[in-house]
Amino acid sequence: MNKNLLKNLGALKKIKPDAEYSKRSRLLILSVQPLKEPALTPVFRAPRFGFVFKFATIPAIAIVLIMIIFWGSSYLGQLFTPIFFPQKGLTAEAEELNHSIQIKLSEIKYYLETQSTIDADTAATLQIQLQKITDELEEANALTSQLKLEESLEKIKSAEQILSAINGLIR
Amino acid sequence: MIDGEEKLILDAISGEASAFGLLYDKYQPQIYRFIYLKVSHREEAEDLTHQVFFKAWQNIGNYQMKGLPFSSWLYRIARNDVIDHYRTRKANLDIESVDEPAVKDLTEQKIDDNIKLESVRKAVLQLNHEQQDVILMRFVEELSFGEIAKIMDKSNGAVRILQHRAIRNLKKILNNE
Repeated sequence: MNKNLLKNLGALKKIKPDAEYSKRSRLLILSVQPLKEPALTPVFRAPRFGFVFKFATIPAIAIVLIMIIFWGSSYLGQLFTPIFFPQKGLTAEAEELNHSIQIKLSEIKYYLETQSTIDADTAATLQIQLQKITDELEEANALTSQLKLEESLEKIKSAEQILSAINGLIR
Repeated sequence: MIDGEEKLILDAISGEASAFGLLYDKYQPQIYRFIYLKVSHREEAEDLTHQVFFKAWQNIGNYQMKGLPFSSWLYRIARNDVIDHYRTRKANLDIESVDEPAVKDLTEQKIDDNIKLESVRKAVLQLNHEQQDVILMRFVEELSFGEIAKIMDKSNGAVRILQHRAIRNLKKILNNE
């Protein structure tokens, strides 16, 4: 029993992260330089470990730069061209979503540009969420080019919902 | 500790991204696995792993080498983030989305092997958090008692007791299936 149990536990080591995810996560993490001197004073040091539980803040502008890298306005514009959404109802819905996405993006950008620093927890969450939006929009783009317009709209809606969540997070 | 790790850490502390990148390459798979086995959800594990390494990189200046492995520091961040994750997770989360089978990640395994692994994985999840941590770090990641003790901020003896209890409970859970 013990031997089998330990063997099966050891076999769980075969679980590995997705290679594409790892690559993107690595890029995102290293895209923001750490502060040489943490902006916050450590609040707790565990005995014997020298580990600080309160994390440094980072410049909010770094996240704005990531946003700009991820989405050029042309990319979003391309998704909503009438060529891709020839049906009237779908076009109206796509335009409405586009409008909402642009407003939310502007709000997030404004918030980040007016903040000098942002805590590492929020920054990491923002990176993750921005990556998810990018993924959704990329998929939407692919679906649109295959003329799967309703599925594409669902992806765009999902991206818009993530943006709403980000807005909620930073307010 | 990997060869030349001390130098890599010092380079990373001085802001060299490529040095931290190598540390990421080395430790990200095991931190991901540790988190995945605790949250049982691929996407959540990916988000939390990203958060752990993001925080580690941002906070690298606060890492103090005292003969302690860098991995211990990462595990410590991971444990805290998983605890925070459970604290803040929405109460109405769909249970199906939490209990995602690991077999997807083990496509090369035979089906019966996968069933056994799934059963062990789910049994581990029924242990309390400390027992889960000891089991995963000791038998999946093969860390020493000393290292686990440092990560969990406990004595070696306390970790041994935790391991003993965890194994006993795991056997009970598996026998009752």
